[in-house]
Amino acid sequence: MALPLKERKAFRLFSLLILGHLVLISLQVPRSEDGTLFKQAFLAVLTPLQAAMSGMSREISGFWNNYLLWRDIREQNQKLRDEVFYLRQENILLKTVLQRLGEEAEIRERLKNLSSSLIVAAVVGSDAANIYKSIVINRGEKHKIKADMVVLDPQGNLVGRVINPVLAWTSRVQLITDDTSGVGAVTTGKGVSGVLRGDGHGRCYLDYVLVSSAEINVGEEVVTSGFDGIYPAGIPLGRVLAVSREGTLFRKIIIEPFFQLNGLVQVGVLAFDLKKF
Amino acid sequence: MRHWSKSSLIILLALLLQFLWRSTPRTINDLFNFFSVIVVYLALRYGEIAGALSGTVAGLAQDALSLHVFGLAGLTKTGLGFGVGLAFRKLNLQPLGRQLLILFFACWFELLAWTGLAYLTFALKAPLWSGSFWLQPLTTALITGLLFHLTNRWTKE
Repeated sequence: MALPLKERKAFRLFSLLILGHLVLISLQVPRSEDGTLFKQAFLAVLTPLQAAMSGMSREISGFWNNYLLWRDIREQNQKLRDEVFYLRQENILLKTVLQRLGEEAEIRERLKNLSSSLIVAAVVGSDAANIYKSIVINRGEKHKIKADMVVLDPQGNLVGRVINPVLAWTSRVQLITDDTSGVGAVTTGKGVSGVLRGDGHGRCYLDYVLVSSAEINVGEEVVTSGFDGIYPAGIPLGRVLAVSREGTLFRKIIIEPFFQLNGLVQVGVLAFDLKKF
Repeated sequence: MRHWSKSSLIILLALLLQFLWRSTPRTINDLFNFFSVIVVYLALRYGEIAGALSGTVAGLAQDALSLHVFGLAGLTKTGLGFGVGLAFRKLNLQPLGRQLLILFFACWFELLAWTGLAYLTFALKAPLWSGSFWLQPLTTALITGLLFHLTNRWTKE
């Protein structure tokens, strides 16, 4: 029995859509780093919308807060918060630079550029499939954001790095909790180094730590080692939550990251080339 | 035309909810996929064509806003929207219990297809170890079924 015309049209449309998706997926095998042009175009349309929606929600909640608090106190508070934010970030940067440099003159010259190298950005979107994989920030190519730039939270803890594609006004940050991320890390106790990898669910693992390596205690802090060539050394990553044995070679070390995704509204992007420091 | 503007607004609402939802604890966060909710709702309300098209848009939105393969959620959500819309028109799904059952299986199948395809084609892992992730089809079916039921009542009144 032949299908009615309307139903045939619906099936035709459905088949076309499915075919379109299959072509789209097949174009990404193997996946390119920048994503397809179509994805970039789609992202370019969506992120301003997402930014507008999140901005709108923030405006509404901000209005309510302003209603409840005295305006001048709030403004003063905001100023102080911004100042603390800058100071914390600057402190981290200074520590990093001092670790790498020796001569005073050289330090002074390079530190001149540092204060202008921090870009403060607002979080305007999160990963739709898994919130622990990535976030979207409201700074992009126009603000001199580039791929692999380091992103910190207001306390100076590592959040992740900027990844491609970087759009004109927005960019995406791969979080350290993403299961495909990797950060060179070292424990603050006995300096055991490994690779910090996210579990895709809010926590991280410190991989490639041999059973025979020095002891690691629960509660010990983990910082970046700088061996990966992306993240500078000494940025706080997280705290050791549990240590156990995994197989015969390696340990299984669970890390609770310091940065909190809940309530993360502002981040700092380090806009300088670390290799120069 | 009114349907399209309404559908677009609903998709924008999903974007907003998805952004606001990120500040919830992880177990609750995995329970909901607002893009699935709106695709199923629009398929129930406006039929299989609207379901397929909203599935395409919402799925691609989810893909664009995630690190997953672009087109994967688009593919599975197109199927979800079309399937739910067609099933609702062809079968008698007026009783709420029957409707919820069909929606649950449709959402379950969509989730399986998405995780399966992501794993088979690109070796990408979904948060499979999270128990609440697997409750997503149930919550999607419950929310959309009840929402559809309530809005039906409301429009009749």
